Amino acid sequence: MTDDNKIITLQDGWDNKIKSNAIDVLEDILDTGLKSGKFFSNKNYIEVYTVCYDMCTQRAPYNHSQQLYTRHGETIQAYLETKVLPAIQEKGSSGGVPLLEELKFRWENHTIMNKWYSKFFTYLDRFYVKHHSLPSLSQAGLTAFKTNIYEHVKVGAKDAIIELIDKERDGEIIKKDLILNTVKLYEAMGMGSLETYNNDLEAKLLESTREYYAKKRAEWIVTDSTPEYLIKAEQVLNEESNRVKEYLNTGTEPKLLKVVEEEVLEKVESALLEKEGSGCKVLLANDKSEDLQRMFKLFARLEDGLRPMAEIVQQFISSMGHEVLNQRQARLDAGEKDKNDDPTFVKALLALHEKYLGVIRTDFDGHSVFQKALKDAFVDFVNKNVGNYTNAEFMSTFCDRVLKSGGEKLNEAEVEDNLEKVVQLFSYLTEKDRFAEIYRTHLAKRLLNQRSTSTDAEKVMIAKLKMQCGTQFTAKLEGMLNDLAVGSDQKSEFDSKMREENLKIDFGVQVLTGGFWPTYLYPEVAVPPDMNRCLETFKDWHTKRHQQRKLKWVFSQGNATVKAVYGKKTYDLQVTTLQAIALNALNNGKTMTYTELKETLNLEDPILQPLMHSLSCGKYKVVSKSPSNKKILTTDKFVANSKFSCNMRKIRIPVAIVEASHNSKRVDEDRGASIEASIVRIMKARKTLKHQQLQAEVLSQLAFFKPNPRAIKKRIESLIEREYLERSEDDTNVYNYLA
Amino acid sequence: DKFKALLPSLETGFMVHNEFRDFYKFSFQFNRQGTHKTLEKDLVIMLAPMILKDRLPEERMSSFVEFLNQTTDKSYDRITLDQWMSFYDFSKECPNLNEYDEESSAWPVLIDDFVDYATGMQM
Repeated sequence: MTDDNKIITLQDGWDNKIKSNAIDVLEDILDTGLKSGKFFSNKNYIEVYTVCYDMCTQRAPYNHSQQLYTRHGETIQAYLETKVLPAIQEKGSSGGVPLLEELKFRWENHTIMNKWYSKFFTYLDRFYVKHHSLPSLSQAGLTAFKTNIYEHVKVGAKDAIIELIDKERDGEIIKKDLILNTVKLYEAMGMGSLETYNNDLEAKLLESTREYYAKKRAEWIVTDSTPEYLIKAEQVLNEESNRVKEYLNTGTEPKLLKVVEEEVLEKVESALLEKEGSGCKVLLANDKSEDLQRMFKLFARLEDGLRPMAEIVQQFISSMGHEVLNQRQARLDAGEKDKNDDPTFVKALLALHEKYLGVIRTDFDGHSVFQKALKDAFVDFVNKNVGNYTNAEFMSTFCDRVLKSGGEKLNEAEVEDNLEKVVQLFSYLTEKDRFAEIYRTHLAKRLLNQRSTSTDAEKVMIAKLKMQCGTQFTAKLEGMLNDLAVGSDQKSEFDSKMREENLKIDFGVQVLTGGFWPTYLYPEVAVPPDMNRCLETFKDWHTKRHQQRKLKWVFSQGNATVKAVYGKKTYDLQVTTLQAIALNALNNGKTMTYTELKETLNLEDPILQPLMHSLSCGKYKVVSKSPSNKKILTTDKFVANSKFSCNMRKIRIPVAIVEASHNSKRVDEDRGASIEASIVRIMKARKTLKHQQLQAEVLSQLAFFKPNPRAIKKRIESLIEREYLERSEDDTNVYNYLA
Repeated sequence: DKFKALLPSLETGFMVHNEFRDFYKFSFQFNRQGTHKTLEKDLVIMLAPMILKDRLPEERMSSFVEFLNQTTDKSYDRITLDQWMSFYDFSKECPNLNEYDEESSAWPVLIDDFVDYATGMQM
């Protein structure tokens, strides 16, 4: 119990109470270790605290706050200078683990000391420190440690740590918690900021890490194959990441990993990718999925790491694609006939695409830079044609195989799958309009000859094309399907009308909307009366329903079944409309010369010749020709073949088609029109434009083909002639729009 | 023919560039026949050298005539006003064919083909 009236002098209080009972005791314990239990009993603590309290609350001139504060600092300083620093310097003279251990001991001590002094002199913190805006006791203590100890050992400690880390990297087991504690010291020395840690330890660690891995890299790149190297790189990155978690500040992780990535990956990326025998190309060629995945993950960490890899992937796929082209060329060179249908080729392309789509998905996580590589590679070779037919045509005939009955034998799911894949391939074509035109022709054949496997499949394909290219692209195709749908709707109505008329012939009509369907020939054949009655009946019925429409018979299309009686046997001949009319002319054993037939039927040679050839020179000679050679001459005579016989009842007599190569011309015409429409649109909006800009804008507007610059120029000239545009008087490079 | 007869007596030497250009244009339009907006190639081959005498280097004119004579491109069987004028404007703007840059030019394709021919690249 203190005597309230007794003033404690500075000398007395300090020497007899504080120093002897607290400071000396504490220093002693710290030096020699805690003997038992606590540092101070509550009683002891309160005694000292009270003395301090009293000394700070006494009225002036006995208020010793300032002196106590000063002495606090001096005490700590003295202790550090005389006891702590020498000890550290002695024990840690050769650095390494001993240094760190001593430092750890002394730092822990200091923490305890700082805490107790703050407790004893708490009252200073509450009023004196605040009043004078001074550092708190514990801050002052910390600063003292920093100045007197830390500054002297920070380099040595840093070296020791780095040495240990390098040892651990080399595989030795080290005292991790020792490092952890020292790291905490560095952190604490920042006094609220990580700057000290960053500058004094982290920065140096990063440097030495860089050196360490630069050396390793130089070794590994020479001795290891790319996959081996990458495995090491992966390991090393994991290690460093764990290292941070175990004993470094978390903020170091990204910086440390970045250094490792730079040294181990970035600096040798090209060398790794292009290594002879194990580089990226080789891995792709050998389907080394795991290695490629690893490579992807590692290079993905680098800022521009994936681009060089994607370039190699693109080149590789491109070369594989060219290989497919070469294989086709080889088949042609070996004598295979060049026709417009090459399913082997298309399947090879589809398989290639499928494979690398898979590789990108599995090994490269579907990353967009690789998807672009795939796309660019395919665009590069898919537009290179081998032989006389375009790849656009092959894709189209392949679709035809898939969609027509009697083509590839596939179930519904397979059909959709194939179509989906062909559409992907199609998306790489520059000449999409060519594909569309050929596709349309095939579709028309399938629809008109009822050779389509399923209308649903047709719709699915058109929907896919629509998604790729927009409504305008598929408008005609949809129109064609619609015509058929309407036709079948109206069929029953017309059938009942037919029954009313009681015509002898079973007759059906498909109405085609002109613009949608391919252009056909309209031979003005002389139709026999029986048939004509059917035509007229339909025409009447149709006109009643649709007054505005104009009908034109397409005799070059259409099928008929002719019941042919040869002696005792009857056959059903499946023939075209024109064949039926020709057979009808030769009914009842009539003989006619070629010229007579030509006149009677009113057909031109290009149509009549193949027609008669099919009936008299083909597999089923239902008509006899004299002379009986394979050529049709105007002097030939034709009569029904009385000796005709066949095992089958139903016989189909094919005839060579006359139309085909309209396709190319049509496409070219449409292109000209598209270019002009585009030019006019652009000029109308801009009024005046330089040639290069006009050209650039036109190219960007055309989605389905890419014209060369001269083609665009020609259309500009044509428009100038027709006075839509003029050349500017002031600048020959500029055009003006003429309203 | 009427024009041909007329021409020798016309001294165009005195005309300055713009005036001459108008005259050059007029000479095309005057020689059109019927409802055609274009001139026959043969007529052009005959007419152009006459009118452009002394206005263009001899070499340029003769190589152009040569080009027209040997070309099998049917689209050049008839020459448009645009092509007629362009030949003159082009020759004035680009005296050295080797400096011609097709990619950046807006001249009619006829000129492009002519340059290809004249610089020795037979297309």
